[in-house]
Order: sequence, then C-alpha cells, then structure tokens
Amino acid sequence: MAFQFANLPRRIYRVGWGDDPLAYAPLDILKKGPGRWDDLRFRFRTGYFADSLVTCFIETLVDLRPDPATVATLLAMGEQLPDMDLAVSEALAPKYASVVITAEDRLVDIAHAQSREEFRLRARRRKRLKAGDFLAAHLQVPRRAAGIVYDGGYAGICAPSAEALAVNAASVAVTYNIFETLLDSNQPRVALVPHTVRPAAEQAIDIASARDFLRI
Amino acid sequence: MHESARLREGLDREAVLSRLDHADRLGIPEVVRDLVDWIGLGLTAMAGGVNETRFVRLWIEGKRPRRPASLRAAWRAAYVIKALCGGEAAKAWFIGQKREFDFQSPIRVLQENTDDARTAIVRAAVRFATN
Repeated sequence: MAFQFANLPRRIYRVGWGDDPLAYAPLDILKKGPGRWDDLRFRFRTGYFADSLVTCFIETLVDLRPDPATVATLLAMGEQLPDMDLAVSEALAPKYASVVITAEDRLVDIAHAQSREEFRLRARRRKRLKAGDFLAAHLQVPRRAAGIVYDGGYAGICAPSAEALAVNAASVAVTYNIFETLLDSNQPRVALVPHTVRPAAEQAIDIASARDFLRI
Repeated sequence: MHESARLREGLDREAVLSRLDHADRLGIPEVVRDLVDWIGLGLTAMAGGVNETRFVRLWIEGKRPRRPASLRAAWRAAYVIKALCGGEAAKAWFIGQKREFDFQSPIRVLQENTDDARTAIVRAAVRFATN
C-alpha cells in the first residue's frame, strides 16, 4: 500500500496576501490562525492553491455567507445588514490573484481510499478514515496528515475544496496544497513559476461566479 | 504611502496581530465604543450577551456588562478584520455562517460565553483576515 498520487494541472491559482504568489505566510501569523493543511507542530509551511480562481474566491469569501438566525436577530433589533458588495471588495482589497505554472509534479490525493489507508497505517490509527474526515471543520486530522505526508518526502496534498463541498455537495472544486522544502526556506517542494499576478478585486467575473455559488 | 499599499506589506499583518492584546488594556467603555464604530450597535449588543441595543449605551456610560470577556474577544476579532480589510467586511464576517462552528455565525458562538468559543472566534478572524 502507498499513497495515491494526483497530477498537478499545468496551471494552478491562488488568492492570497501580497503580490508574491509563492510566498508562504509568516509563521507568527500561521500560529494565530492555522489552515487546514498546516503542520500541527509548524515544522514547515503550506502554500494554498486551487484548480481555478473561482475556487480560490469561494474559499476566501465563504465566511461571509449570512447566517439566517443572526440576520433575523439583527433585523428584529432594527439593525441594518452589511452592504455585501462593499464587504466583498474590502475582504479582497489587500489580496492578489495569481496564476502559477507547474512542472506537473505529483501530490498525494489524500481523499483517495488508498491514501486514507496509508495515512491510517502511518498514523497508527485503529479506525478507518472517510474522505470527509480530511475535509471536516475540525482540522486535527488534515493537519496531522500534512505532517505525515511531508515526513514521507512528498510535495503536498491534493484534496477537494472542503469549503465548496460544504456549500454544494456536488462541487468538484479541487485544492492543491504545496509544502515548503524546509521551514522558512520559502521554497516550495514543487517547481512553480508565477505567470500573472493581479489585484484580486479586479477579477470581476471570477468573483461574480464565486458569489453566485455562495449566494452572497 | 497609500493605506492599501502599506497594508500589503507583510509587516503590517504582524503589526496588527501584535496589537490584539491591546484589548486587555482598554476599559470596557472604550472596547464597546470601538465595537459600535466597527460593527454597529446590534452586533455589539449580541457580543455582550443581550439582544437589545439600549444596554450598549449603558456600557459606554460605565455600567458593567455581564460578559466583558466576550466583548474583549469581539474587539480582537473585529479589530483584525477592520484593520486589514475594512469595517463592512468585519460586520459581514460576524454575521457569516462558519463550517467550523456548525454553520453558526461567530457572534452566536460568542454567546456561548466560554473560553473555547472566545479563542475560536479570534483564531477564525485572524485566519480570514491574514491568509
């Protein structure tokens, strides 16, 4: 048994802070708000990419989908709801959208049954894992998986977009999560070449598609 | 330098995060006044554990709220989003449902009035604003 691989597509996308698409987030920031595929012990950092800019925007803006119960409470208090056009543009203002060319390196397809079993063995877990365990809101399993895949010398993890699936179970959006070689090296384990970098807020069509998907 | 250009420099994220503990040094009236400025009366009332905005004015005038720790956690979360994105984004974020909170909004989670809930919402706000 071994991890199942997924090929990286020729182009991958990122919406993130700063205009360097290959820059990893500073460690101090990661520690205050770690992401799904960040190592539990912060021995390395993970760069978050996706199959399209729309997927990136879905992941970036998903937190703004209004909770009906909260909206009802605020309306009952006579409060105004936020202007979503402004909220979205503010949320994206400090961010950049990037296209990156890849060398088609292979990443571990962690949701694949074979990879899940391999992870179970390496993590010495008794119970079998479902794909959903890696996409759950609780990040313990995916963060542990990132550490184990990294220790195996692999370049990163490919997985369905957990955020997109939570909104629409039929989503086929995919994320590519690429490790840096060593902590603070700022070098990804995959050969990546930036193609275009633009302010995120200028990507009107992709933003509109993401907002349509999220219904915000 | 233009504000947005300044913020895009990585150091500013760290500078904003380093000010989160400032919430502990502020008096409650200041915390509440900031929250009203940033996210409005209604969300501030909910952060303090009530569903009526009239209490907010009393807190600003010095009456002690029932849940000062929750107000300080709301200040931290609102501050990081307001500083790095903007006030409307902060407001929308507090109302937005989050998978990690079983599709509840941060403001409803804050109403659980537990240390875990307060830690979780600040962490989620940092993740939203800085990644």
